[in-house]
Amino acid sequence: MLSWKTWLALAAIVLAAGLVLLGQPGLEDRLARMEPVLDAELESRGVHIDPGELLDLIHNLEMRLHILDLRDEAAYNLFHIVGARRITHEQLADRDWARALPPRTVFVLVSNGEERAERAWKLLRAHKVQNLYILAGGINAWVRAFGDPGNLRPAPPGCSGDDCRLYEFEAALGGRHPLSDPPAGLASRRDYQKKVEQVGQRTRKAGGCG
Amino acid sequence: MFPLDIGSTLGHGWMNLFYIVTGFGFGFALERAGFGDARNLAAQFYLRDMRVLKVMFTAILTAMLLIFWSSALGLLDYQALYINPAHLGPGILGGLIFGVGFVIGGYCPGTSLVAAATLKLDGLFFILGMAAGMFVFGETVALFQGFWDNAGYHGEVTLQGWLGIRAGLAVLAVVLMAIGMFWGAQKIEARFSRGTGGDPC
Amino acid sequence: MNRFPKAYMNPYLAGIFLGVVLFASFLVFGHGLGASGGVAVLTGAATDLVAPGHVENNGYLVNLVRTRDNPLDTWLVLEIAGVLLGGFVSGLLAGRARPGTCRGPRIGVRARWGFALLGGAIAGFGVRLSRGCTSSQALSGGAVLSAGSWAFMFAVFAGAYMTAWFVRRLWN
Repeated sequence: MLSWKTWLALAAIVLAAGLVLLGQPGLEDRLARMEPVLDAELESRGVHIDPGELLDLIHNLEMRLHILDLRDEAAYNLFHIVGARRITHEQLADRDWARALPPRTVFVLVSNGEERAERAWKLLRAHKVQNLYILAGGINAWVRAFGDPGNLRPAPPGCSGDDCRLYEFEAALGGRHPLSDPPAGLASRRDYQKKVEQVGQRTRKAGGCG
Repeated sequence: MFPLDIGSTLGHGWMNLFYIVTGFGFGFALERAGFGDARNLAAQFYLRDMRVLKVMFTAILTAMLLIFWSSALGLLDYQALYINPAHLGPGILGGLIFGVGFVIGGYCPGTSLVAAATLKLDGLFFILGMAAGMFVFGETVALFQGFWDNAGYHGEVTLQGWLGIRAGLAVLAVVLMAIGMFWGAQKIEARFSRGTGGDPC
Repeated sequence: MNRFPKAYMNPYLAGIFLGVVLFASFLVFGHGLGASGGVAVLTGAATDLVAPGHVENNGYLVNLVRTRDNPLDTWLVLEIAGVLLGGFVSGLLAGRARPGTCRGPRIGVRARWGFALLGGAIAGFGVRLSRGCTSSQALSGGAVLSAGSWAFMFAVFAGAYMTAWFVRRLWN
C-alpha cells in the first residue's frame, strides 16, 4: 500500500507530464483571443498617427521615440525615415525581444502603406508592448506630406496588394534622403489630430521587493 | 481571464483588503508550519529537521502546477504575471549573504514577522536588525550601483527560456528534482534527527 | 517519522496550503508574495520622516519612498500587516503566542537577541542586494520559473549551509 506522500508525488509527476503534452498557449493563441478587441481598436483609427504628428515626435526631445520599419531590406535601404530601425519577422515573433523593448518609449510602426504595420501592431500588442502607434498611410503618406508635389515620381508597377511602395527614389539614400528628415516647421502646416499620449509604465505591476 | 485587475474593477479599498487577507493566509500558513520558531528553521541547516525544504518546495510545486495548468487551460495569462528579472551578480551574492544572516539570526524576513507576531523577542530583534541592514544598504548602494544594476542582468528570463525548452518540461524537471530532494530529506532526517527540543520558546 | 513532539501541521500539508495562497495571489494580483519589501519601504519611510533632505539626495531611497504618494499604502506594507495578523491568530489558536525567545540550548537569552540582531542585519543587507527574499524570490519567482529566483534560492541554501558549522553553538 502506497503512502499518501507517494500518491502526492505521483500526482505531481502525472500533472507535470500532462503539462508537457498539453503545451502552453503560444503567440497565435494569445493573438486569436485578443483579435476582436485589437481589430476594433484599429478600426477606430485610434492608433494611426498623421505624418505631421510623427515629425513633431521626432523633434520632441522630451519623448523617447523608436520608429520601427516593417519593410524589406531593399525598400529600407532605398529610403527610410531618419532614425528608423528595420525589424524582422523573427523579432516580432520573439517574446523575449518584445519584452526587452525599453519601457516609457513611444513606438511608431511604419510600412509602405498600413497593412504590414497593422499586423506587426497586433503581434506586439499580444506581447503586451505599450505606447504602440502606426504611421497613417505609411511611407507613401509621408512622402506625399513632405515631398515636393512636382517632384514625386511613381514607382514602377509590379507590386500588388495594399502595402506597395508608390513613389520612386533615384538612388538608395536610406536615411540620408532629404525627405528622411524634413524641416520641423512642415509639421505645423498639417492639421492633425494628436493621438500619442503620455508614455505609460509597463502593464504588469512590479511584484517582488526590487 | 486571470490575473484580475482588482484595482480597476473593485477599487483601491477592496484591493488593499485583499492584500491584507493574502498576507493573513501567508502568515497563518507559516506559523502552522512551525516557522515562528527559529529553532525549526535553523534545524534545516544541521540536517535535523528538513521542514524548511519540505514546506518551501511543496509550496513552489503546488503554486507552479496550479499556475501552469491554469495557463494551459486558458484561464490564466502567464505572460501577464510578474517574473522576477535575473540580476545574477547581486542576486547570487545577495543570496549567499542572506543565507549567512539566515542561519545566524534564525529567520528570514517573512518568518521573523510571524515570530514577532507570536511575541517572540528574537523575532523582533531580527526585524530591527533587518531594518539596520537595509538602511546600511541604502547608504552604500551608490558605491556599487553599477554592480547592483547591471551585473549578470538578463531581463525576465525563465528556466524554460534559458534552456530553450517547453515550459511543461521545465515544470517536470522541477517536480522531479523536488521529489528527489524530498526523498533525500527523509533519508537525512532518519539519520540525523535527534528528537530534542519540543519545549516552547 | 520526525520525533519532534510538536503539534505543527505536517510540512507537506503546510506547503500545499502556502502554495494555494501563493497561487491565489498570482490569480488576483498578477504577482506573488513579499515580505522584505515591506520592511524596506517602512525603513525608508522612517528615514524620510527623520531626514527628508538625506532621502532626496539618494537615488535608491527616492525610488523606494518618493515614487509613491503614500509609502504605507503599498501592497508590500499591507501584506506584512496581514502576515503579522495571520501569524498571530495561528499562534493564538495553537497556544503558541506566548512571549519568549527561541534559542538553542547552549546560548543565553541576551546572546540570542544579539545574534538575532546581527543575523537580521546581514540578512537585511543581503535581501536588498538580491532584490527579494524567500517569499518574493524563492517562492514566488520559483513558482513562475524565474531563472534569477532559482539561482537566488540555491545561493541562500549554499550560504546558510556553509555558515552552519561555524555557528553551530547557536543552535545545538
